[in-house]
Amino acid sequence: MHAWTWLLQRISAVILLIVVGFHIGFLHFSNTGEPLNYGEVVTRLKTPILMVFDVLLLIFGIYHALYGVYSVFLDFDSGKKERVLVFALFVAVGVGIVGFGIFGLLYTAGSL
Amino acid sequence: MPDSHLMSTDAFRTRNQMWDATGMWAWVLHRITGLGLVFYIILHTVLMGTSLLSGKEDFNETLSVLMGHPVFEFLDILLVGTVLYHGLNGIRILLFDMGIGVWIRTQKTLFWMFMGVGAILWFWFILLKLG
Amino acid sequence: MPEPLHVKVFRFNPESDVAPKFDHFQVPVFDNMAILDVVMHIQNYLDRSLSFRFSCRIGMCGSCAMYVNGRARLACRTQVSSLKTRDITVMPLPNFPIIRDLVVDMEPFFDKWKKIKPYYLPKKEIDAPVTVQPDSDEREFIDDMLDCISCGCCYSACSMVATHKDYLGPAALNRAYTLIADKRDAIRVERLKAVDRSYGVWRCHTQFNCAEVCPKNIVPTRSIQNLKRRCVLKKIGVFK
Repeated sequence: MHAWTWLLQRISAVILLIVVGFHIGFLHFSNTGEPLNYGEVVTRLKTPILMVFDVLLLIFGIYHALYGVYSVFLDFDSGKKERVLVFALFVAVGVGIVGFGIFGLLYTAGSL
Repeated sequence: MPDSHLMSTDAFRTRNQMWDATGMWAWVLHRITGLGLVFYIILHTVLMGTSLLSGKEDFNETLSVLMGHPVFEFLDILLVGTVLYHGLNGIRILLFDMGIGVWIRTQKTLFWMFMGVGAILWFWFILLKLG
Repeated sequence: MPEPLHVKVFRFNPESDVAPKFDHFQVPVFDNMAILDVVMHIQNYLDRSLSFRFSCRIGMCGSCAMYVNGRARLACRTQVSSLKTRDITVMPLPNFPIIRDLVVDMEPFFDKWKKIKPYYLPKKEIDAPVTVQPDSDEREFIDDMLDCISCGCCYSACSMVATHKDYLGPAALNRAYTLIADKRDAIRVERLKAVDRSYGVWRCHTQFNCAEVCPKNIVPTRSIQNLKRRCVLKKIGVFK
């Protein structure tokens, strides 16, 4: 299993390099200096490619983040039971946050 | 003589951290920035999600604070620095995973090369932000 | 007469001492003096009860590794002049249980070697001798990695060994790689399974501390990275 999660951590890293760069760049440099307003966000989210980028960021960002914390946990001695428990907890938290995020994005874009 | 095993103790086992080694520091910083970003990404998702869901007025109000207040401007610069470090050192790690530069000197050269790139990008970002 | 060395030595005898302490010695310095000469001088002339391990004195047996001025080093191969100071602190290797003074218990270290079966097992179905040509890439690639003298320096410098008691450590994983890389080896898949564990290759976070201290200039990180790739290749069916 470690081989797969490790590989996915690397794949998500590559995806995040692109998506995060775009996310930060887009927010800072395509703006007029005024605070971002709701209408603008809706317009952006109605553009399919931007929506896809945000969803990718959400899924791979949360995976990368939580697997990162999980591997910090693994660096210390732990029992098998603890490991399974923590892993399940992280999966639940991850699914929860990603689900909530995607719901928020789709709702704002008016797709729901 | 298997029974003549010398008594040994773990109680005073000494610890060692390589505080003078580039690779060690690169990793320590990668962990710290990583954990910081975990905290941020969760906060960011929850905050943006809730304020988007609670409607136009709430969202605009939150964003005018986040994108207007000087403290958040400073935190934004810090955030971009953190992302730059984690991302660039991440590329270094990805190179190791592909078997590139896994030598004791090369890994240090790579580290300082990426840090140079990071410093330039960060400086450029700060200038854009202030200008 | 040049100024003598101020040597601080870790002392501990679990049979009589409650806690470790440091003893201070003044040791006269001579040309090309190694750390091993320093501790031998102390044992010969200043305190006969000082315990430490050594054998070959020329950096090939791997028994005199000590923690000298904040770094694991082979006592016989570390010149006093290379430390660039007159103040020397000698301690037993970190991450090992202590037997007495500078002597550590290597048992946990070698127990982990046993887990990867550190010996070559030839494939049975091959009748004719199979050779790896000395000038082939395959041979050249693992050449450096075969230099390991199992002194334990890398194991003591690794912060992953420090935080996880089961982590196999750089030396054992490096040894595993030299065998797994050998096409003639009969149990390379089984060996790969032994390292494809949470406490195997996946605990390595490429800090390079092992390579930093290796007296033989091996880069165990390199072997471990290769093992990680092979674990993935095995999962997708490329490595058999």
